[in-house]
Parts: sequence; structure tokens; C-alpha cells
Amino acid sequence: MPDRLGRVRAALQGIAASHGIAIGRVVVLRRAELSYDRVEIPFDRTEDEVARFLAAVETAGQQLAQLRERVFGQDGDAEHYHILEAYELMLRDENLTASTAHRIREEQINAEWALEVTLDDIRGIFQRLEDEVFRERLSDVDFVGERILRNLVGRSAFAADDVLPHHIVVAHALSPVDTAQMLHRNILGLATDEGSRTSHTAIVARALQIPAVVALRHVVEKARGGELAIVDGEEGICILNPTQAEIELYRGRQERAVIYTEKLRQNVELPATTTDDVTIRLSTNIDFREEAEAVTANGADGVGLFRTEFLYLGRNDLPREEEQLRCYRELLQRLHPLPVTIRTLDLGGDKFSSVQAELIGGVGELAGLRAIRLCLRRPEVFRVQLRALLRASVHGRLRILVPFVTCVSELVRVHEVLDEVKAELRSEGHPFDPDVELGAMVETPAAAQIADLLANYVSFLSIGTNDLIQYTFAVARDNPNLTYLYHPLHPALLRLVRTVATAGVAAGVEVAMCGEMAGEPLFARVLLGLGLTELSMVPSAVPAVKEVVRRSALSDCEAFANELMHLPSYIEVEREVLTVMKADFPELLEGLPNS
Amino acid sequence: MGGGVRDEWFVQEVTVGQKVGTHLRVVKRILERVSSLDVEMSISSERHRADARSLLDLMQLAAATGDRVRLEARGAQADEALAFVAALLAAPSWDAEIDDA
Repeated sequence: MPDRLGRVRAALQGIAASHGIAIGRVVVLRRAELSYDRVEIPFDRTEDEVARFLAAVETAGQQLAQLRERVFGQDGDAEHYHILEAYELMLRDENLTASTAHRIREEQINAEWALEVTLDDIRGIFQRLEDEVFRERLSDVDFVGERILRNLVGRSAFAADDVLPHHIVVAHALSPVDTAQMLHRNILGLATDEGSRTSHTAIVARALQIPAVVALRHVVEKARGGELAIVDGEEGICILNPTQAEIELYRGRQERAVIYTEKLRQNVELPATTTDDVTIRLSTNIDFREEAEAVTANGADGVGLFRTEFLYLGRNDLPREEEQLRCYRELLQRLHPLPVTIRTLDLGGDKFSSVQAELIGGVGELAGLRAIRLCLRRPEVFRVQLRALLRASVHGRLRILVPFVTCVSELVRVHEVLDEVKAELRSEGHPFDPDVELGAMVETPAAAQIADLLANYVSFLSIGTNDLIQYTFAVARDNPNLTYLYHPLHPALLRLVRTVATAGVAAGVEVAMCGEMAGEPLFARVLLGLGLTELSMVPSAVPAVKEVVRRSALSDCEAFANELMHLPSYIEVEREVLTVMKADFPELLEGLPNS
Repeated sequence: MGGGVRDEWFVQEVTVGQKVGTHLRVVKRILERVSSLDVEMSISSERHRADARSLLDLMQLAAATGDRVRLEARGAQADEALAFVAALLAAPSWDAEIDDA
């Protein structure tokens, strides 16, 4: 019901796209606010009208070029940069400019109307395309058209120019240009009708750490602008005209989250040591050497998993030794003296491009082969990576991690290849660290069951929970009907983890975990209690997990894990873990980046 | 090269290897290259025949991986244009290195 000022409370559920809570006034970006009519132009004035149109095109081009340079620079965000360049090309496209000028002259109408008719023609063609990806390009055409129209009707060129600082931006969807424009405007939060967790808006919002909710469907329709709103980036909720009680509730949550984040920040310099003085290694999973800074900024103890697949993907050749060496060396140097665990190639044969597959012996040959199985079948590919890794090893503290091991014989073979490669390097005079540690990933029930045997051939084991869950429960992650099986606290998984950890202790090798499960602060006590000595996670998760470690005693964690072992199903285990963690860490369940 | 040869249309067919088809990045790169050459060129998919100098035109090709497209070119640098466009369309990604020699 509207209040006496005509305001209507509306709570909309969307998708949480970026963490945090924003409370503030709304500014609505509306696309359809450009209005103009069809106006007939006297014959002797049509050339003036064409000139006015071309001037608007020219201005739009300059605005786009300026934006491109100002916001992204020459080596800025490549994706944005290309899109903006493409817009400039479209702007000067004869299909747009010549046909509009022709229409102004022929039909003696105003530039706005002529442009709109031309745009309609182009839209019609795109709408008939069957492929959704191509049909989506329609929004690019609309965007370019709107740039010209805004200059014709004398509006400021970008909708985002209307955005006021310290407001919550409500929009149907945001183009890359809109988001770029808003970068420096201190936006409190974003709420959009369209989008997904992986859409452009979501990615930008997360990068800027602005709370965002997308896929709200009706937020533009319900919002008027100027009213108060709450954007809840944790639950994916947007409330327009919230009640006083709601505002107070959210203010409380907001304050606690800020305090908590500040508090976690103090952990960065501190060790991940339990109250009974056991130090756990908290390391990070990263994909690019550029993430090295995030490792130290979050107070991690190194890298537990550096994936090398990106070196091989999206190209038609294979990465040469020197290219790989440069990459590994830079990473090791940047993080020296922290340990850096680099995982050897973990790709399936089907992930290679057809040209690459030709190079390494044909697609059919490699069908069904993945990771170490593929590397041992094609040792010439594996050797290049091992050579690069060993040569990089003199520049920092390297650990080599072999993925998807299921048999002792595979590790025996890896050692043979390593020894051959070392001999080669020696004879060529390349220095390397002869004591580089070798580790094996445990990603299948088979590997977990023979962890004691595998441990004889490595100096560390690393449990990859994502695959281990999938292969233990025989369930694909994305099957929505079987999500009940995808529970990391399932007794079967806890037992497997314990088996591996116990084998590690007996053999004197470290046991790490590097799946998503390891970055969940709610699980940290359980994992410590099961006997893991290293947890590897996304860099941003480190401070929260460290907080739990520093406020726990290992002996208590062990007793807790033992208790959990007796529970009959994941339901009881989850309930027990939540109860304990909620009592000891009430702030964990809100305001904590844990998804 | 004599005038008669210059006016001749050269035709080539190519299978699109680009993983997401003729998307924006690819057609933009085609346009930029073709615009720098002395050539008149069109690219035709099942749906559309596009002037290689118009981005809006090229965007309408909507050719997916595995689709056949027909290239037609004439002018002093027709060979070069054909070689470049054919190689780029056949490549798996927009930023594939194309030998321009």
C-alpha cells in the first residue's frame, strides 16, 4: 500500500552478483527517455539537416574515442577496448550514415526520424538471425544509434552521465560503456533487470567491490528515482522504499560486515597458527601470474595450486619451453621465498584445438585421456613442461604437482621422465634445483584408497575436492536433480579425506586440500581436525579462514572431527558444523565472502 | 599487372574454424585489414552477402563454426586480402597469428 507520499514498498528477488549491502537513494538509468517526432524539412533545408546529422555522428565518434582513451588507455581492459573500437567503426558505417543521409534528402524529414527508420531496418535484419549470440549484437546497434540520437536532441551523450555519486544505480541492463563511465562515480550499489552472475555488470561490480543484484526483472518498472533502496548482494534482494525496521536491520548488518572485514584485514600479517601453537599453511589457487600480488595482499603462505592450462588453450600450437619458462620464472620470482606449487597440464584430449591434436598425434589417439594419463602417453609434450619447470626452479621455491594420479606406476614413470629431463639439463649446462618437491593430486576414490602407497613416491599430496566429490558420488556437478549428493560434508567424503590425511602422517608427507571446500571458513575446523596441514583457496578467502584457524585449538578440532565421524548423514554433519560455527563465529554467517 | 587482370574476381571458399563463429572481434579484424588494402571484397554466408568494409554488414553474416563462406575479391591486393581473410576465418580464435607475408 502506498504511504502518504505515494511511495510503495517493493521487495524483488534477483541473483546476488557482487557481495555487500548498499543502502541509499536510487537513480534510474532509462534508455527510452529520448523522444522526438517526425518533422518535415523544407526542401531547401535538407542539406542543413544532413550536415546536422553528420555533425552528430562526428561528435559521437569523438566522445567514444575520448572515452576509450580516458577510461582504458592504450593497454587497458582489452575486451572493453575492442568493443569501443567496434562501436566507432559502426558509427562510420555507410549502412548507417549514407542511408540516413539519403533518407533525409529523399523523404525530407528530420535527422532523428530518418536515423530511427534506418536503425529499424538494421534491427529487423538482426532480429531475423537464428543464432542468439548474433541476435544479441542488436544491443550494440541500439547503443551506437542512441549515441547519435543523444547528440541530435542535445542530451548529454551517455546515460551514465546522469548518474549521481553515492547513489544506487537501477537500470534495465548496463552496457560496457555505462559501467566504464560509472567507474569513478562512487556508486553505492547496482540493481538491474537483466544479467547473470557471469554477466558483464556482475564482473565489473565484483572487481570494484560494489554490491550488486541482477536479474530482478521489474526493478526499472517499479523504481521512480530518488527513493531509498537496499541492495543486498548476499541474498540477491533489492528493496525499494524499505520500512524503517528493514533499514535498521540492514544498517546493522552493514556495520557488522564492515567491522568484520576490517578485523580480518589485521590478520594479513599474522601467521595461521592455532591457539595450541600448530601452524597451518594457507595457500592460494591461482591461474595467472598477475594474481601474485593478491597472494601476498591477503596474507597467504604461498601458492597451493597454479593451473597451467591457460598456456595451452586458445591457440594452434603448443607453448614452447622458453614461453613456459618465462611464465613460471616470473611467478616464482614475484613470490620468493614463498612456496609455489605448479600443477602440470590437466587437460583432456578433447580440449586441444584440432591443429594441436594433430601436432601431438591425432584426436582419436587422445580420446578419453586426461592430465597425467595424456602426458605419459605423449611424453614429448610433458618433457617440455618439466624442462621449463626445472629451469625455473632456481628462481624461487617450486613444488611440482601431478594431477589425476590413480596408480603408483604413473608416479614411477613421472620420476623416470623427470630423471631423464634432469640429465638432459645437466648435460646442456642449465642450472636447476635438484631437490624440487614432487606431489600428487588425489582426485579419485582410487587415489584416496592407495594414498599410503602413493605417499612413498612424493613429498606431498593434495586433495582436489571438486573431482573427488564427482567421482566418489558418480554425479556431475551441474545435474540439478542430484544436488543432494553434492555435499562436501557427506560422511563418505570425510572418511576419504581422513584416509588420505592419515596416510600422509604415517609416511611423513604433507597433505593439502585445494578444492573449493578448502576455502570455506565454516569447514576449516573440520578439515584441520581430519589432519590436513595445508588449505589452498582463492586469495580473497584466506583472511576469513585464517581467522577461524587462529581462534581454534587443533586438539578441539580433532575431537570435533571424531564426533562428526559417527553421524549418519551429511544432514546431521552440516547441522552440527553450523551450530558450532554459529556459536563461535556468529559473524561468519553474514557479511563474509564465502560463496 | 594489366587492367584486365585487375578487374577479375577471385573466389575462394572457406570453412569457418572460429570457435564462436563470425563474432564481433573477428569481423572487426577483417574490416580493419581489408580497409588498408587496395581491394573490393565481399563475404557471403548462407544468410547474407556482406561488403567487407562494413561492420554492420559483416555482423549479419552470422556464420557458425563449420559453416562454409564464400569470399570474392578483386583489385591489386586481392590475393593478399583473400589469404588473410581465409586464414583468419579458418583459425580457432580471433587473435590467431596470421602470416601476412
